[in-house]
Amino acid sequence: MGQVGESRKFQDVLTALEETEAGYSIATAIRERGTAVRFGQIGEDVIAYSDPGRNEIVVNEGLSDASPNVLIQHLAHEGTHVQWNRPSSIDQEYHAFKAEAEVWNQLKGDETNKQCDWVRGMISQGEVEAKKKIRWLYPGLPEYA
Amino acid sequence: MIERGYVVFQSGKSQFPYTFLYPAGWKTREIVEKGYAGVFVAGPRNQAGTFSVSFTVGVMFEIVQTAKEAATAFVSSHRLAFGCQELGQISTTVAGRPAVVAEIAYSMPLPLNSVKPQDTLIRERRVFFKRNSHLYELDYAATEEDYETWLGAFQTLVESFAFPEEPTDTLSYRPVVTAVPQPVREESPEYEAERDQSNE
Repeated sequence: MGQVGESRKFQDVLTALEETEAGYSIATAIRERGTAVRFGQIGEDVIAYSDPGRNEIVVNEGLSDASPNVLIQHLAHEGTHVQWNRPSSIDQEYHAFKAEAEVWNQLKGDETNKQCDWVRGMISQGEVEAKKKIRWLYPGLPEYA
Repeated sequence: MIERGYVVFQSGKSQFPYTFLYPAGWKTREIVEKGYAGVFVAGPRNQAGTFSVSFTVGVMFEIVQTAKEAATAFVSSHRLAFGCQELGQISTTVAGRPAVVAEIAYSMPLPLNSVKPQDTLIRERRVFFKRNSHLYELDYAATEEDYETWLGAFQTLVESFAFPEEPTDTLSYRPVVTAVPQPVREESPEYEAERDQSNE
């Protein structure tokens, strides 16, 4: 995919995110901050990350053929970090996963995706239970930052 | 008497103080949320470095559910969310109170933020009991590979759990002889987040 095609794809993804209930404020934050979104090589097979220093969200290029709904969901997560604009925390990760789940719930229809569906299940259990699981993954993160 | 290899935790933030033993070297952190207070006790990472063995002690305030109902709801919600397998429920006592133990197993894609996650079996044991209107939950979670290694340490936590303001003769604590397992990995970075940016 060329740069123009990639840029158009992420513009479409951003517009679709903006049209979801949970994603509107996130997409607005990405646009207002001028945060670039691109595919790139990411070590350790990480899905995506946001880099405040470079003001960009990088999505693993291995997902270039992923469905728009999956990309929108990941953009919801990383866009939450852009929106919060402060060091990560268990609370921030919870809200990023929650945004993912809400967007996925709204868009998925009959589509399935192992990671997206697992996050949806985790968030469906409520904040206390979801944060418990997030701590298992990121035990060094502070509760709030 | 404190068992070798364990240290005493005494809650400082909770309005309902309690104590318990946990393995020396593990990290504790108190958590206060609306309607909930707890302690997260983080142990070593699994061999893949994707999951921390952990204990969580939590208090849910003003809960109508009985311990048995809470245990059933715990299993049901995990069955609905992750298709968990229930490994059993048994009755026991904690701090002199009737308690229910539920154990489940379910698959988790790890790392959760990876394009190539591995289905990893998580086992979780949770002990529920009530004190007045509050629901207490003592939780143990580990990957299948580490579960048996630290189960004895969790049993020590459960058996040592006590409310310090209560007369000693109402407590269920009794010294137990439990082998202290060796950590899977000993490097300190295992207690740190995997990254310092907000990457997922």
